[in-house]
Amino acid sequence: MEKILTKNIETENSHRISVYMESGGYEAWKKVLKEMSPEEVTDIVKESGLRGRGGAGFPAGLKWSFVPKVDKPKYLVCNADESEPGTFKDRLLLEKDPHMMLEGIVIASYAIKANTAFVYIRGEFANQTVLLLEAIQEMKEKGLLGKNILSSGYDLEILVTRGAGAYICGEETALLTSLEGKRGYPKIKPPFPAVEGYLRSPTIVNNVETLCCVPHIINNGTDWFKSIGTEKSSGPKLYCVSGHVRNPGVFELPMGVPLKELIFDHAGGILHNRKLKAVIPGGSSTPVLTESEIDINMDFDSVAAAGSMLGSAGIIVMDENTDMVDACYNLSKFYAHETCGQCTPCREGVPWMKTILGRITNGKGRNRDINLLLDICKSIEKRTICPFGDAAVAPVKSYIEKFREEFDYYIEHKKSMIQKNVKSLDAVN
Amino acid sequence: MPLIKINDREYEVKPGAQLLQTALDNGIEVPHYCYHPGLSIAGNCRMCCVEIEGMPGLQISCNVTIGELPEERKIDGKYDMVINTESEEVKDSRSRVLELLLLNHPIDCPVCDQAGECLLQDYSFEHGSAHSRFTEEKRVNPKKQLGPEVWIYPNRCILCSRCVRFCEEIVGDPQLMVRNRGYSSIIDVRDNQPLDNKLSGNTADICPVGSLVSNDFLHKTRVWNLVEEDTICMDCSVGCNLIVGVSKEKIQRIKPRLNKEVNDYWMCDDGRIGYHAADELERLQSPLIKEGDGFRPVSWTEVFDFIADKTVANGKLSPDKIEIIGSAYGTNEENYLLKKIADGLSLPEGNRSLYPGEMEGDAIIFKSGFRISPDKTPNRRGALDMLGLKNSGLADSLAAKIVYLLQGGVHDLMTESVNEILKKSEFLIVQSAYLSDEAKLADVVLPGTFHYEKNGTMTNDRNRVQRVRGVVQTPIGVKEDWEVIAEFGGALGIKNMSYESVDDITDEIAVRVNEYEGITVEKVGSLGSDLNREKESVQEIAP
Ligand SMILES: Cc1cc2nc3c(=O)[nH]c(=O)nc-3n(C[C@H](O)[C@H](O)[C@H](O)COP(=O)(O)O)c2cc1C
Ligand code: SF4
Ligand code: SF4
Ligand code: SF4
Ligand code: FES
Repeated sequence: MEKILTKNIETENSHRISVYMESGGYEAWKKVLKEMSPEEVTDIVKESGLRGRGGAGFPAGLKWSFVPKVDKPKYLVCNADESEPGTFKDRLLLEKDPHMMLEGIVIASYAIKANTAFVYIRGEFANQTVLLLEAIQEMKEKGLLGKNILSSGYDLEILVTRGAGAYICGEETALLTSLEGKRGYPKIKPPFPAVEGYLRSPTIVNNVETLCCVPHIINNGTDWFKSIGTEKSSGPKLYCVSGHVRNPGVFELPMGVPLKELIFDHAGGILHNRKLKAVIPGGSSTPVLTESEIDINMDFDSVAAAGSMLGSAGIIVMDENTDMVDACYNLSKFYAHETCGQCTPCREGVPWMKTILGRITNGKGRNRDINLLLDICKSIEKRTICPFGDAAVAPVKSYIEKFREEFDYYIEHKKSMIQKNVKSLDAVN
Repeated sequence: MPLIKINDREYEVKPGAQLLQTALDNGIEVPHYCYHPGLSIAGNCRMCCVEIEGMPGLQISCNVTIGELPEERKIDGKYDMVINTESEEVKDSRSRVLELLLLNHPIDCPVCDQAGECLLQDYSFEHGSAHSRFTEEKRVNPKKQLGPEVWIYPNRCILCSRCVRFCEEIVGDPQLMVRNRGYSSIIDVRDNQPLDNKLSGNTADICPVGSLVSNDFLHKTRVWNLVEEDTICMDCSVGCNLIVGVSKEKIQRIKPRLNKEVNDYWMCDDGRIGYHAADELERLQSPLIKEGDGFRPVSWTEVFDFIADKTVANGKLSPDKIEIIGSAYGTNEENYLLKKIADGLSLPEGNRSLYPGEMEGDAIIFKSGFRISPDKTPNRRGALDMLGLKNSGLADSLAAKIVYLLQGGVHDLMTESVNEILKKSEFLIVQSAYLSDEAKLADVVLPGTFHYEKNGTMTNDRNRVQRVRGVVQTPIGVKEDWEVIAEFGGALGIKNMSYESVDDITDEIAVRVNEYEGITVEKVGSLGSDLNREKESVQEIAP
């Protein structure tokens, strides 16, 4: 496939506005300002079928159209808090092509009639923040941002806020509370951010990659965009492949690319020629797939049909040497550490699961622990303020369901069932 | 009006009504922790889940507003919402949430002040399971005093955030916060500064468990030993509505009672511990007559004979030589009887006054609008109305006068100038429950009641007449202030001074005093009744 989102990343100084503009950058922005009404922009994005790349796959244009016509300021927020384990695509865009994202931001802001946009950037992305601030400065110098942009009468500021290291602040309502200067707690819905978000004003939150698609849709049209990917998941997609593969990295391919093609062609197959055991398809919060379940296409609906989620397309590959009990414990530690602690089921239940899993990997498991774990999952699922609870449950539930014998073995024998396949360790990579 | 169905019964509700509150108002028990009607919705405890037809899974009822559906979308052709609060799914959810809330809970009810009125205890009894599946180590944090009024026992905390929201939304000073994250979250003060705002005690009231507890009430008694009585606060002219817990004939604690017109759900800390003002005061048991440097205890008969002799006997009465001074700490009834005496004796206009004089200062107004008045007397408004006065304060001179003064309160009020004025009186009668500084100057002291022993009504500074109930008994041998005044009037030959009960006086006021017309005991009820008076016109007079 022709590269779209990553077309500039090999070019030297791709983060500079000059490089971006030489390759046609900001043409879409100029076109929008000159020729299009905000409603037209929203309609085109709706028509393109662009779905959110932050995890939930919500149609972007539809979300924009929820902004009510009220006499309040509107805000656009670019979610650059990328922290989902296994996910590192936004980082690439931020580093290599911040202007593509910024062009998406300004167009989206225009569409929802916002005069202030925020980039909420992961705190650990220190260098990326510097690049971003420079890029914003470059835009202003070119008159592409600020007051009365290109004499259109439209004003827009972009403000950058750094996160402080909490995974939960990637969840859009927690992000907004954090942006308001408060503790990063998710909010109960309703109200939804599009109606009452930042400072109780209408606010649209979109992922970096989602916004990066927008200028291309404006430039090339909806038919072009829909010609890429599948009918219900259109456009290009960045897939992050990590784990036991030879060639981990970010790959730009159409929506709906076969998972096997991604792992075995693009990511070079399994390290040391070992056997593949399991794959997490969409970031750590999505249910794991076994070797027999990976014959699927990577679009929102196909992965859902397989009982998991495309999520952030953070694909984590595990080989036959992986101890699934330990892997499960590892993830549960992450979630127990990151729960914001606001609501009862997640605050109490998620760390409880971690403690039990820790006990099992310490050889102190009890027979009833497995059913207890599954029942705690039930106590958390769908009973929380934000989707974090479900996210924390997904690994535990799916690991136990799909690798039950490893858990049972661990409890009975007080050690892992996995005999490391030493032979293949010597195999040539 | 939306029509809804909860568990097979129909209810008509106002559009925009909040589901959980609607259920509670209709006597349907929906267990909940984080919801408090005086605070914003947090939705964090997840206890209040219910099933709503047409919505997936369970919904937290505290965050559901009831609206009207278009005709064609009504459920069963007529309902705007159909709710089940007792389905198996709902019950299962409750016991799951409870299990999680109790994981780390010490369940130390035997030593917890909340026991008996604890929502955790109540609900786990009804909805929980008997044994814990949690066999890991519990989370432990030490108890500590957060401020003058409040302690925290963090192990009992369920992180409902009521206390945090209270400080933010009602006080407007976020002194409490959640420290740490996730499983380690703990309620704590900010920046090591004490929780010392003037409303801090309310946090202990609204804490649904025994995590925040009152310093004043700490380990005093078990709540089931308390007999609770309704009255109003005696510590400023706002007149917050109260529930007073009494045991062993003593006040053990004071809590606010909901009155949306006056104090909402709240009260201030001064009022909460104000009952202690009488703790150290030595009670007068019998009337006293001055003798040399001291006083001689006498009987009621003797004292009234003595007074009659000094004032009206032998035609000595000269109305312009008599001054009657009411009290802004006294009830409407007490002050009304004093006015009746003054009228009976045909005292001139100027020979009535009100003690103590105005108290200057600014009201403290909190974010929610809750107010603490600088006037620390509970009934200046009503006393002025009863005595027919516009202003408080003693006359400049009481020289050569026979003076009756109702002290009425339990606070030291004496100032240099009051001392000067009172000293010049010819014959001073002071009615006071203890040997106050005023009483020490008197020729005759009539024992009266302490503040929380009084019965009757008082009028707050916003013209609301409210009921005052004696929550503790006057000691044997001591009469209530209104009784003493009535007998005092009788001794002076005033007619119609005998009443069966204080309520008869209230009802007499409702006939005799202009703006109090119709404000009978019944009308006042438990939440008070506004005077037939334009608010503004009085606002100027009110301090
Ligand atoms: C626990 C949690 C963490 C999340 N983290 C991120 C994140 O780091 N970046 C992101 O774009 N979206 C994240 N999301 C999704 C956002 O809530 C939101 O759906 C998204 O930013 C919307 O953008 P989109 O519609 O363009 O996908 C997270 C969601 C949850 C529940
Ligand atoms: S589900 Fe977890 S992360 Fe989300 S609000 Fe509740 S405690 Fe916080
Ligand atoms: S201390 Fe009490 S009111 Fe505050 S969060 Fe804990 S349980 Fe709730
Ligand atoms: S505000 Fe006034 S009436 Fe209310 S509790 Fe405080 S002192 Fe009492
Ligand atoms: S009362 Fe509704 S979630 Fe706590």
